[in-house]
Amino acid sequence: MKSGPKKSGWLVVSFYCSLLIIWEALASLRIAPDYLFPSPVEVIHRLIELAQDNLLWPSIKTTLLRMVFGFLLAAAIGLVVGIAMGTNWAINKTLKSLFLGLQMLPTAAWVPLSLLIFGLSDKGFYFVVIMSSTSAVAIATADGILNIPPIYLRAARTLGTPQWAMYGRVIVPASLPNVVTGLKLGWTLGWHGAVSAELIKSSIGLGFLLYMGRELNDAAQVIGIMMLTIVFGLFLDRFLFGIIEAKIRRRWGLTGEEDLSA
Amino acid sequence: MTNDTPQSHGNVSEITLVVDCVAKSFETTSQKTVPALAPVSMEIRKGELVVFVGPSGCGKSTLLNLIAGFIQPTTGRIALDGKEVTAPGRDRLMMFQEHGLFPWLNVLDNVSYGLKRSLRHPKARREKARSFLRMMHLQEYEKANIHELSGGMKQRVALARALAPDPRLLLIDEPFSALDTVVRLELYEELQRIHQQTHKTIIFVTHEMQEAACLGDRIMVFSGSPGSVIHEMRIDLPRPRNYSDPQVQSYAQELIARLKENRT
Repeated sequence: MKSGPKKSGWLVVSFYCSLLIIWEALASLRIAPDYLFPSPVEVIHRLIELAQDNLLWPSIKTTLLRMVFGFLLAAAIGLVVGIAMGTNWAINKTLKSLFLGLQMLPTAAWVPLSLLIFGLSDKGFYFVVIMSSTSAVAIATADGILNIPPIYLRAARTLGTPQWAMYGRVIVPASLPNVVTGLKLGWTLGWHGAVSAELIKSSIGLGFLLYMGRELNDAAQVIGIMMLTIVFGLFLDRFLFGIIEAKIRRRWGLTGEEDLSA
Repeated sequence: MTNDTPQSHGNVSEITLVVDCVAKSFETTSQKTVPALAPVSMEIRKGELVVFVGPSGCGKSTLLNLIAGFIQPTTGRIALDGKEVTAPGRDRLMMFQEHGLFPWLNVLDNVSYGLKRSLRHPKARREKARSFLRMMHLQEYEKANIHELSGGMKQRVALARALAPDPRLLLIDEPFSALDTVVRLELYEELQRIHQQTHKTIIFVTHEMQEAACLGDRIMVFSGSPGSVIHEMRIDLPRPRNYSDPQVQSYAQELIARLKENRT
């Protein structure tokens, strides 16, 4: 962190550039046929074709909208359940074991059930996203609340905070660093879930384009869509949560150099 | 106004806090009852700075927590201005050893936190908080984050936060023990100045005899297990007192002697 963002930025950029160069070099050796191992230029070319056929942007938009809506629901449920877990011993003990068990399931494993229950309707996507990400948000929120230093609660009580206001004024803000970490993890898992669901049961979306690429034996499309899935997932992760997280870290002094106990 | 015990520095003020035969025992996990505080009675007058001093485990912090309302006495009764203490409240603000400032709020918002009930408008709250920051010479740091402050500054912010809601009683629990000497000496002066300016009733807990002699109008010496008050001493020295003043030191010596006497 201390070496400065400028330097590390260059390091990352040159890493990806060399990765592309190696890829292009390997592809130009033509060890495998181009429909199995396309070069980066071919991948980009295919993506441009998809865009020209008006398939790309509607798919990206659909996946993002499904994801944002499903994730908002998941985050709201996760926060409420997490607060209940963090403030009630019995709820935490029981639900935490359930959630940890559910996290053993790959997110795609929710898709068959969602098909059975919701058929091909959009509700199925929200179901998969919610099942994928709620537990991560809830567990992180509960842990955040349970790890609040007792002195904050004592200080708030001596300063006359009424019991009903404790949640808004102390419990939620004090657990915020953990909550944001949970939201980030939840976003990632929900994104997995959304794309997995589209692989199986959609006629539009990034997951559908992946599936279509496989049907057409088109590795360039498969790789291109995989890359877009990473880029859009990361983009929102960085911009949505990255900014909030950086702000919290700056305010709390969690940048790693300062000692909290001092 | 009660006039029964004239105080040596002339001004007689009314009793504000009454501790009446208060004892506390804790239940351990093995269902055993461990007495922490033997029955203690005391009266504290308005504007007094009383110091509870004694070795660790002598019940002084237990009594402070009882007065704050964080725990309930097993027997006996505590009343502030005639009103029985049953829960924590802003009339008995506590200041902690580990400052307890909220890291999600900046300095100014920390100080104005306790004003939510008394002042409706955020602007009025901020103005009042600013006046307390000025009192602590911290007005330039109102926008600072807590982690950016030094240990001594954090305790001064904590003191400002505790004073701002104008509590009737300020409870201070070993606030300076984690600070280095120079900062501590500054804070002794600061606390005495604040006490003289605001005439707050203060209970200050420490295990350090010289700190007790430097700060207290009256010292309660705690000892034993279960703890109890073994000695009470009035310190008649003019203020502001200097920590290394020979007279302060001789009072401290006397406190140590009393403690040793009690142990043998």
